[in-house]
Amino acid sequence: MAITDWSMALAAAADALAKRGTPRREYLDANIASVEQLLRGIGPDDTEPTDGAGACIVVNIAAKHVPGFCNLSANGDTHPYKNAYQLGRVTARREAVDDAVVEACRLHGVRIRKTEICFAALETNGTGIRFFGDMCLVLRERPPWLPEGQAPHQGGDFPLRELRVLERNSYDVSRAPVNTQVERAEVNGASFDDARAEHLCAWLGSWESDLIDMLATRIVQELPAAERRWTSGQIARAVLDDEDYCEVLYPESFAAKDLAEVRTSAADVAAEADITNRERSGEGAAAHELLWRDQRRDARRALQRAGIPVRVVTSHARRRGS
Amino acid sequence: MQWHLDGWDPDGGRAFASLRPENLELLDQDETWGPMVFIGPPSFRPEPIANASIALASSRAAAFQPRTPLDGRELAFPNADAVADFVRRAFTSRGAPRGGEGGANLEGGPREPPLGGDGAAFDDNEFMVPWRAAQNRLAKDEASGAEPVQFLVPIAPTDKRGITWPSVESGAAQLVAALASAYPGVDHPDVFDRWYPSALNLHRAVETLGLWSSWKRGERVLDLGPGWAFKDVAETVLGRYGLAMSYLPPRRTSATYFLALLLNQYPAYPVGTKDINDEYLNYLLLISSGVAVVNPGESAFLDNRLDVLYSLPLPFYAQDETGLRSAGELLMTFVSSPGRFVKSQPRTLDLVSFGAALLAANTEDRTAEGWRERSAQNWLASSMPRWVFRDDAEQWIRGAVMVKQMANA
Repeated sequence: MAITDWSMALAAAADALAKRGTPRREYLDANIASVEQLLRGIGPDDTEPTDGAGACIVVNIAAKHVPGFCNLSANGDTHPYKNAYQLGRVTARREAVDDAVVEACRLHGVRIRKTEICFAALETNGTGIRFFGDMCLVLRERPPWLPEGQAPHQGGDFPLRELRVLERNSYDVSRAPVNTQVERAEVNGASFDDARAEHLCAWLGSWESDLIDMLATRIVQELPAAERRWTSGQIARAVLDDEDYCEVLYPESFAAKDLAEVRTSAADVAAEADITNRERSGEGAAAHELLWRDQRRDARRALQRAGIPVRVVTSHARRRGS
Repeated sequence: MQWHLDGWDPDGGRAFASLRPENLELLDQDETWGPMVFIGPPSFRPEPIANASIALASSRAAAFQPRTPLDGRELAFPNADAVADFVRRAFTSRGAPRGGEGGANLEGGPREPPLGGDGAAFDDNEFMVPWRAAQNRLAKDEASGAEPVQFLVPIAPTDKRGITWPSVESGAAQLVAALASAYPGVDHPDVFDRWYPSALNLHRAVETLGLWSSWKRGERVLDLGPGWAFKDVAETVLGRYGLAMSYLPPRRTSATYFLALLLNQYPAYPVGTKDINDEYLNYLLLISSGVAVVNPGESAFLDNRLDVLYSLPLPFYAQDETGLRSAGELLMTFVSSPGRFVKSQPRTLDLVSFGAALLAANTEDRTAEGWRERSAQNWLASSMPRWVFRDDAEQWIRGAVMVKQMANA
């Protein structure tokens, strides 16, 4: 396996679909153009990106951790957001996968240390990976195709051209069915670690130059191949859907000043309101529910003090709230 | 095989768990292993997970620890429901301390627990019986890592004649006595301003439970033994300023009115004015005697009742015994780790009862006898443990193990 040419991968995926007879190629091309527009944050009839729209880098944390993150940021801590190495919570076996990620990056010509990677996610207008936390921190990092002067400040001095994205969770390299392929490669003479790195290398792309083709390749295989236009919501859900997401290898750490906004899901906001209503009506919201609600309130207060807007996302690509 | 944690954020209340052999790495998963679930707030109900990659990624993308403990024998659970209850209890326990609880300084309050009076016959609380029974079952079954527990017993103890102890009123009377005794005077506005929010919250909380109204109508206030009677408290406060209760008409309700006013009023004096206590307290005494025309502030609305409980300082004896500061912290710690309270003073659980009743006080039937205790029981039923675990897991719930691990790091 080698470095993937995502442009060719997309063309091959589109051709494969076209060969099946449906849909007409025009629909496929129009839908792929929609993917590009959504990732660039450009509306159907616009030519310039809309502020706050498009692909972004997100990290989810639980509300409980938000005040601490804001405090560390305000106190000038060098790593307000801490990865597993900084928290001292890495097992040797799992560290081996990080080694393979670093090796895959090296094959891509990018040098990065595993201890300095923040494993973030690619998102459009959704609320990130809810399993990791109910507060979706959206980094200011913006796609490089924004005109000069519109691109907000990036947190570190990491060159954007070095930023790499995996089109899936890197741990998939150790899970079925890929782990079987890795083991087979080992039988055929490759080292286990090299075989893993090779697979990861094939999933890797550059944020600057590969993102749209990478995502389009992924999405044409997920969304229905019909003679209908895909909606923004469908495309956004395909970018990050439940357990499935694209991993962004964000360098070092980030602070509150590097956040464009924090998003929270309408479902969580509704649950909060329901807890408060039940408390007031004497239905007895339980201890853990009250604590969770209050932790979210404390998180919002901390973010407000830090000058970071909190927005409610009602569904993918559809935002509400202040 | 049993269930083990594959990623856990104790403070955030989020975890992944799977049915697999102990002490094996999730990366080694084979076909014989069981399902995986995610657990998180606010429901803490296990949700199936299709791909273990998300659990593996959690430990490096968020504040999840990859296994529990990081070294040594893993915690084991009999089923996903037990794991969920473990995660929920640990979340509640770790969320219990908020910092700065019970802002008021309690200097001057009763130091001994209320062991006598009407409560002398209620020196045991059968509410802890289910917990002890589950612990005993666990001790007898070495193969079991957890035992289910159900708290169906009312929290208010009953004496041999079948009389139920009004535990909510006991909790309220204790908090009133402790906080009123600590009245700091009004000649130091900064000290008064720390005490007053707690006092006002307590006044409103007690009225939300309908107790001031009841006491002011002349219902007898529970006798909690020496030092805890409202009359004793009023005399202690007045005595510090050379005043005496004899100034008041000798009605049963006089001390009750005086304490209600003390907790609910604010002096209308310029900030920094010295030596105004006599005048202020004399004014309170004066309007305490005008019972027919004075009825201050009883309809005040409580917005966030949990915040209110966190503003109420515990009596000295309860602080010493539990190491906790506020009624809110006590309530949250109790529902997450009742094992800590097996040997508590009998009246400590009355403070828990008060807090639980406040959170569920808007019941429809507030005329039935014992409605406050039933409200407390109903609320506790939704929050108490559903599983009792072995000591190692119970230590994790309390947070003791994590603190130790971080100290060693």
